[in-house]
Amino acid sequence: MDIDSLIKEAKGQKTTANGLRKRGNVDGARELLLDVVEDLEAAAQEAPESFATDNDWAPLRRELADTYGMIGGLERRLKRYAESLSWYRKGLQLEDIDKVSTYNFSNTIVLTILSEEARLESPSVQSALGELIDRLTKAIDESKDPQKTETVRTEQWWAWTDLGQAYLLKGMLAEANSAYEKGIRETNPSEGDRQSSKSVLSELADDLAALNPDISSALREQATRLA
Amino acid sequence: MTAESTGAEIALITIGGSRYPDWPGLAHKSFAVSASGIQEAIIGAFAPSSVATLTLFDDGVESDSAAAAPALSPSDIASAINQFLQARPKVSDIILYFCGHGSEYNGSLCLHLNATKRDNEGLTGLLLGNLVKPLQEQLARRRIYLVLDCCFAGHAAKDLKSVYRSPLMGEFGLVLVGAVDGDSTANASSDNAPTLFSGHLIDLIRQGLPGKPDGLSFDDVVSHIRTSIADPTLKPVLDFTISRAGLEIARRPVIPNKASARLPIKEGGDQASLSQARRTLVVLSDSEATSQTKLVNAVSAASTLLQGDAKAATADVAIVLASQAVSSPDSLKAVIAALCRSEIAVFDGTGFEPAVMLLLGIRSVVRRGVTIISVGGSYTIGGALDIPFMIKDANVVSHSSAQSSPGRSTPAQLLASRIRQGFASYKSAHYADLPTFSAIRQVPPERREIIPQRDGFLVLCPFETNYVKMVWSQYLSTGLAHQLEALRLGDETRARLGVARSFELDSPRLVSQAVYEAIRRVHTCVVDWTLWSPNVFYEFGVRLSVTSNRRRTVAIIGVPFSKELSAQKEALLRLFDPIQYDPSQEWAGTLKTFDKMVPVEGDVSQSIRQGQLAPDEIYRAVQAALDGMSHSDSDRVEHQLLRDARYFERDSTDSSPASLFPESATLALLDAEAERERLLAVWAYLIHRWGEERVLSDDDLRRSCTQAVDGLLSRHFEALSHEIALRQQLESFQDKTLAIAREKRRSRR
Repeated sequence: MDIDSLIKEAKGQKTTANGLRKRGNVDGARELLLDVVEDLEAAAQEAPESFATDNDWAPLRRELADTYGMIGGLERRLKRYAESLSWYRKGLQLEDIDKVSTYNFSNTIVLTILSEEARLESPSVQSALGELIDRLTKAIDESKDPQKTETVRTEQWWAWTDLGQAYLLKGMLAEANSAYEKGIRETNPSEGDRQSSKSVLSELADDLAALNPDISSALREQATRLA
Repeated sequence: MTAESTGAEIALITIGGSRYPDWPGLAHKSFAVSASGIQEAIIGAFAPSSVATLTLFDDGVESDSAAAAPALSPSDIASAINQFLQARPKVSDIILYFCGHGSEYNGSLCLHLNATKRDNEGLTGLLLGNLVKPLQEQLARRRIYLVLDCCFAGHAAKDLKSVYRSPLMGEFGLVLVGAVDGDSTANASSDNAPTLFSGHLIDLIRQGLPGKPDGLSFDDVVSHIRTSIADPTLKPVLDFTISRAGLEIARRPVIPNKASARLPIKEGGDQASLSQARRTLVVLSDSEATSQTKLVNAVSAASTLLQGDAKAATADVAIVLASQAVSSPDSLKAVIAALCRSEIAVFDGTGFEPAVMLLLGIRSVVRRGVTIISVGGSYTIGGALDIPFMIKDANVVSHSSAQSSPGRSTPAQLLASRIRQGFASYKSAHYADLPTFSAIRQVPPERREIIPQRDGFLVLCPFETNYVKMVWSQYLSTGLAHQLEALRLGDETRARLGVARSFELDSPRLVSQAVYEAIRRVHTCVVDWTLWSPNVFYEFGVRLSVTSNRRRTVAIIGVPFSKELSAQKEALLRLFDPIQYDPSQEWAGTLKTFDKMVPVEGDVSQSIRQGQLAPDEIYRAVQAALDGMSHSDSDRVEHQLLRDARYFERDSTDSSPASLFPESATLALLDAEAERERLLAVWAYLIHRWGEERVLSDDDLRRSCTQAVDGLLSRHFEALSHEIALRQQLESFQDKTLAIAREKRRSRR
């Protein structure tokens, strides 16, 4: 199967997995995504040297990074934080090559905290959050530049939620609120996407309740606003 | 009993009988002559190694030795076919031919074999349902052409439908070709001649059908017998309703056409016939043909940059030189067939030569495929280019040497990119790479009638200043107005059209759309070749493609024109023989010329013959080529709905909205609803049309339905939260498709 067809099939299976997840069948979704990973990795193996560098392989890299991230998300739902972090890190390795998305980067930071690998206030986490905010705000600014086509666009809901969440974790509540508001105004997220963002914030609030009660309550407040 | 190589892809199985030991009164030698004639004709039509034969007619035994062998029972016949097919997994197409007596038995068609006994037809005759059921496994994924030359042949459809509609046969495809319908008897002939039906079939296979492509379908064959052979006793039927893929199979070019038109191929190029179903057609301009055929090289290089089916399509190329395409009526018709069939057509727009534009005009009407115009010479993307008005919106690429200079996308890259994008979306009703295809079709019923001659003429002509001043204003418009006035003598009503050029049409529509509507509707269209305007030749191609001989199209040209014409222009003059006029004269002094253009007396309604082509020969050539095509992909309702739904889908990765105005919450909701309802329509249509069992067992149906259901459960789960029963049905379907997918994956491993 050629790469275009493989990616098309992978996207279809990821849609199926999303449906399964929403139905509560997390194991089924995970099983399906592991099959997708197997197929995509097999294709990547065909060019082990150029896969990580060559532009021709960028679509496959992005697809694989996104799939790793999706599995990370499912593991997180199952509260298997170490496994989740491991998948996000795999995704981050590929994401860092093209720097088009911040999905794995953002979640790696969160899972580092949840898995208690590092504390929120630790310099490494704070520095990573700062970098994430820089990247996202820069990308959003650059999206106004007509020459840039491969950056995060302002109409991407997930870009705004990543930014909002990063601000919340940094304790920058006004900026966080502004990011979510702009995201809602500019992208009009679907009911499903809003719910999904809300549940991410609520779960994170639960998880941080003991470790960082102030941040936890800010997260919960923001989740309520998304309802 | 069998012959061939095991690598053959076509199989011919003959069954039936000419002798009936237990029913001697039925014996007829004509049946044996028919069966052997069909066998010889089919083997002669294909390369010998490509056809496998199984002769079960008269039990595969010559009459001299017949007495020694016991007659084969219906189950022996089924076993023999089973064994034969089992040993030939590569066989994809099976012509199952029966000749002999057919009778009605308990509401079913009973085919008589050597073993058939009087008063015991049910057990000793062949009932098709009983034949097909044990062969299900072997018939799977093969195309079956069931040819029955017997009485009541059409009755077989009823017997087979119940078998073919079962889920087990979901993937199967069969078309029935019968000598007569289900209520009629068929005529045999004298003993030494084939039956009437088989006789015509044999002749067609041996001689072919002129004007048709290289492969004949059974639809072609039956249509030809029905319409061209004036024999009231011959009532052939073609029933493609038995299986889902029936129409596709009926239209599949399966029999090599011995009389297919041969195409003018560029010297040194691919010598194969262009009318073979090549997937890519390259039309070269005459000027480029003498300069290392850069365009051909670019197409070839583009092919290496592509992947998957687009790569395969661009590797299957036919090349034609514009002047050779218009060198004779046969050449032109063969090129038209290729224009209709090619998924990708690349036109060399260098100089916008008249023959290239004529062919481009035809292509723009006949096919929603990928059509690319590439210009050579010194043109580079972004440079100045005088594009003819009617194709102003076309996205022209370049194959010039300058385009290959550093820092630019190479011609191959440009072509590959266009092909990749076009190939992915051309089947969508929204895809357009030329403005004509939809505009000429999307005319509402109340505006489709012919605009009669007395309402005026459409004149397709150039708009150059000197032409307008010297030719149009002083000569042509006045002369044509005079003819119109003469035609309308005594008519007090207003002429709706008058003598109108394209810019003068009284219509609120866009100019190009109004022109296409007029081109389609006007009875009388005068096409002025003076100045050899590319635009006029494009419009001329459009007009010729869409008008039958109920309309009049007149080509004219002002004289004197250059005596040193290119070979292409000379070929066009020979082919269409435009009426010559001299604009330097007073129009009133050349009324005879205007009478030739638009006569006011005699039979003014009929089209006229000009040059070597009959009045509507191009229209008929287009119709014949399109008639033989399978539109299976583009016409499927569910595919169309799924494509439509995608226009409203949020991006799966980043959830960016589809709306042009993402800040409008109302539009976002409407977009979501638009996608959701279309996906629901796909699911509801497929499940109610075919039944869930059938949808699950058919790969293509299941894929479409899965795409819809997965989209609904993934992106619209919350919106469906109040429709529990509906959501449960969707979830149940998803679970079943997942189980099938897992099983398939397991078996692949």
